[in-house]
Amino acid sequence: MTSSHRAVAVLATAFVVLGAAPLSAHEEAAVEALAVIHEVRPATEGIEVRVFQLTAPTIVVTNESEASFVVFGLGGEPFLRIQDGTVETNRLSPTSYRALDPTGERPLPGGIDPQAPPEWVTIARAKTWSWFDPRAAYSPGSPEWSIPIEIDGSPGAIDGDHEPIEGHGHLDTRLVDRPRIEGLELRLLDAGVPAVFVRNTTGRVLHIPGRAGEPFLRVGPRGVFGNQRSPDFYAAGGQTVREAPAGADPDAPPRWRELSSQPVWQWLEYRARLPASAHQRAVLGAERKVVLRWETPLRLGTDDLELSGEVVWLPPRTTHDEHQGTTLGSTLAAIVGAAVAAVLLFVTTRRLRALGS
Amino acid sequence: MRRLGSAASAVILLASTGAVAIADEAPDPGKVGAWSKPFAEVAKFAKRPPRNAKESMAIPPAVAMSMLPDGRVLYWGGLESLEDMTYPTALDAPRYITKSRTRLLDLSGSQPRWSTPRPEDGGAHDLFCADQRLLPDGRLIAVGGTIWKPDPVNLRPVTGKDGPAGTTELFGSNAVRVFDPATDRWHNNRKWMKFSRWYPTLLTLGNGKLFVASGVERLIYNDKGLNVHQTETFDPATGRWKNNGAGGQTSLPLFARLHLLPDGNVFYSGVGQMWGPFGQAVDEALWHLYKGYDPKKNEWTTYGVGNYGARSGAFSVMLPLEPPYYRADILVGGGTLATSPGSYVANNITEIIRAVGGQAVSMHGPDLNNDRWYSSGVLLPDGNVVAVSGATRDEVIAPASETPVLEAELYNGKQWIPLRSAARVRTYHNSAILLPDGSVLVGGHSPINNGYGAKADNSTEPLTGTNNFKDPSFEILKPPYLFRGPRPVIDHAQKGIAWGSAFDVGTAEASDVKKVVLYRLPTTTHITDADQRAVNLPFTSHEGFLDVKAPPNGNVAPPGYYYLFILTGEDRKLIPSKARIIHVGASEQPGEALAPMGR
Repeated sequence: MTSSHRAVAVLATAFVVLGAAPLSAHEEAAVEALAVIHEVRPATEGIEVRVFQLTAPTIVVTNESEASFVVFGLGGEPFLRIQDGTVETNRLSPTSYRALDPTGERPLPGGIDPQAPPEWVTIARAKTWSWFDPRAAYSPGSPEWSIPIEIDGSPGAIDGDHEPIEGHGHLDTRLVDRPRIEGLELRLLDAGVPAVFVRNTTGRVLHIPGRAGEPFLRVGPRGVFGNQRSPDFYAAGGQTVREAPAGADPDAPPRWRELSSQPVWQWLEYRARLPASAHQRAVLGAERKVVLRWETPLRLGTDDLELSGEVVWLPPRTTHDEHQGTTLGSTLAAIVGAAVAAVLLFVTTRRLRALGS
Repeated sequence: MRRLGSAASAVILLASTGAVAIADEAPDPGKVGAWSKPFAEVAKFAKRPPRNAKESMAIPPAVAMSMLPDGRVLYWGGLESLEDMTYPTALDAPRYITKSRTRLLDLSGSQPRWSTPRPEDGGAHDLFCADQRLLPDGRLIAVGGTIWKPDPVNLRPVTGKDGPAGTTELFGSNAVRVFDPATDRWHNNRKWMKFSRWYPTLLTLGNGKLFVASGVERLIYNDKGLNVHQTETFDPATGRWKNNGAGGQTSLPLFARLHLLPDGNVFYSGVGQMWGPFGQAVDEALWHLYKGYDPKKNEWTTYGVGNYGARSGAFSVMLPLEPPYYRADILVGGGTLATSPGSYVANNITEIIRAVGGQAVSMHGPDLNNDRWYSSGVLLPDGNVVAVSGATRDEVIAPASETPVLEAELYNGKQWIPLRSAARVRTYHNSAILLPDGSVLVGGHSPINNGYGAKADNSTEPLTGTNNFKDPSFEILKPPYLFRGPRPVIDHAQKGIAWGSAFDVGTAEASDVKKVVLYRLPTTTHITDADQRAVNLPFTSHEGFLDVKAPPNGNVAPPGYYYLFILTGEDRKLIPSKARIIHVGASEQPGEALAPMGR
């Protein structure tokens, strides 16, 4: 077999192999498959874990609890620790470097030793941190992923999965019932924390309570007024979000401040927000279902009204739907590749026979 | 693999249709316009785009473009030297990135000419992701921008002596630089903004002061989870900034599309760049709203909600203001829908937002012929709009996954008409402005060359057709109205007009003139020009001249420099003159107005 024949045969074989591997190019896998979180174990109040898809999956952790949150690296060594508003990394862990490198292609520096006791270095004063984690990257044939963690000494994991970007599972926040009163317009604005838009031209005052039931907003002919004693005045205020001052107390007598001279306003409606922990696929399940029902009691003049809504889990369309085209393309390419390889093999064999080798 | 499938389909399609060469009938430029050949500061890039990292870094692309009162174009680059890194972008950008370089382009002669302002980089921080506007006196102000730093600040114990010091973080800048066209020099303004802003929006108010909103102090590891809510006002007379306090605060997306309404209020059209700190801002639901800021009351009010809510990477163009100047229509098109993590796929949906009396409603507009993310929308003096450049996907989310949109389109008030296609790929960080001769200067293209990860990802993507290198070239789109016959000529216009006054415009075609239009000199970056506006002026025709009524006040036409066009022809087939550049403000200026590209 001549070297050129070998090269052709290798190319043909490579074509078969590449053609048969779905989503083998790393950038394409990253674009077409979406990492999602199945479950975070052990469930802990005050710890939220999310995953974002950039070119590589990015894990974002917020630790507002008093517990320590430790993430283990690729070799099982601890590499990241978030506690008491401080983020530390183990400088001897190779994962500390990999967590910054979405490709995982760069050489590691010398001197690292994953087996050695961790040497923690503080890298930020923050409760939230994120890192690239190659374990959450899409891998053909094994869409599940897992990242070992430890919360306050209890071992656990961030378990994840992958869904196709188009048709991935998502949560739909929607209104179920709203007052049908001429001059009163209420609309829901969907986002991480949903918001409610109101326009009230009824001539009567619309009262909106805060989450603790305290007076929060008044929207009426004289404009919009907010109760500065309500914590929601700061957290859900409608123009800006900030920490509530010490004087904020839902039980205190209201102190009203004019927010607008027009009867139009909006507020972040935390009652309609599903916490990040409830976004986990293990919680949401495989079936379409309502995962949150919420109500905002309203009062227009002296009439009690109700604004209500729900968050509906729409599970992913079967991943096979998304990948059918891919598989078809792969199969087609594989068949073509195999045919080319077979022809080349046949020709090569005949030539080899003719040459008597 | 999907790509292989697509390629196979394309082969089959080609095989089934046969290699038939269809004679390309010369399209009528009066219907589909025409494009100039590309041109560039370095001649070889006029013939072809840069082919390697070294070439890509050679000269800046026009990420930001501004028309100066002397008719020259000031522009600068962005993401400079991103091609030349050892480690991935997400790690190494602060070590390798260089500050944006500025250039002056003079198109008044038979050949374009370039020169370099001093200092070349504008002087303070990186101009990349700053916003810029013309001051009423004709100087240009650029605020904010980028400070590249590794974060966490010291990871050398982890990455080694020669490794990067941490993950790339984009910090906002509070720098304020002023470019003086009289000296071609940049100066630092004595006072900088009180808040650092990356991706702010800067807008001229009716009183000539400048209003800045939004931006972010740091993009990625931003524990607040919020963009900058504080707004500030700049007084050109004193060079000082004022924090607008609690009343001026609001939540807006990055590069929020703001427009000054003819009642003097600032309007947010529900469009911006919708990604935020850690990917999402806590309060991004509020970006779905139309809002207005009343500078006199120092108060934001909510104007309404659009049919499609927030839109990211869409264009937002205020259509010409008509007498008696009580309302504004804003054409919004393309982009992706919803806040982060909304769709990554571009759409072809347009809306016309009508803002009047403190309220805004959205009306469906005609569909674009192409799905367009990050297309530049350029208002023409006849009131039509062209959309150029852009891509089919949000390239920031998935660099190099987009297919470029080369076809230009023209909105004629009823529908979008396909125009001829540009020669060059211009997706992320493209720019386009109207020139004084009525044509459109199209430039820019500065993608995230390396994605966020791999080095050596620079290539022309064979299957999407996008170009991962920068393109420093320009092209000029000549809209159909330039091929409709003889153009009217402005024989005389005075240098400066005063609000509320009457002024003469000399023209031999006075009896044929259908419109007299003031058009604010364009200053754009990131497909945003908050000062963009055209004002149709009432006039009466006389033998050899027009008696024109100037705008009533600064809310309709903020003080500063404008193109003055006259248009003849039929109602939907108008023909513009070449423009004079005139000043509009509190007082008249005698003398003949500049005709930067001839009469």
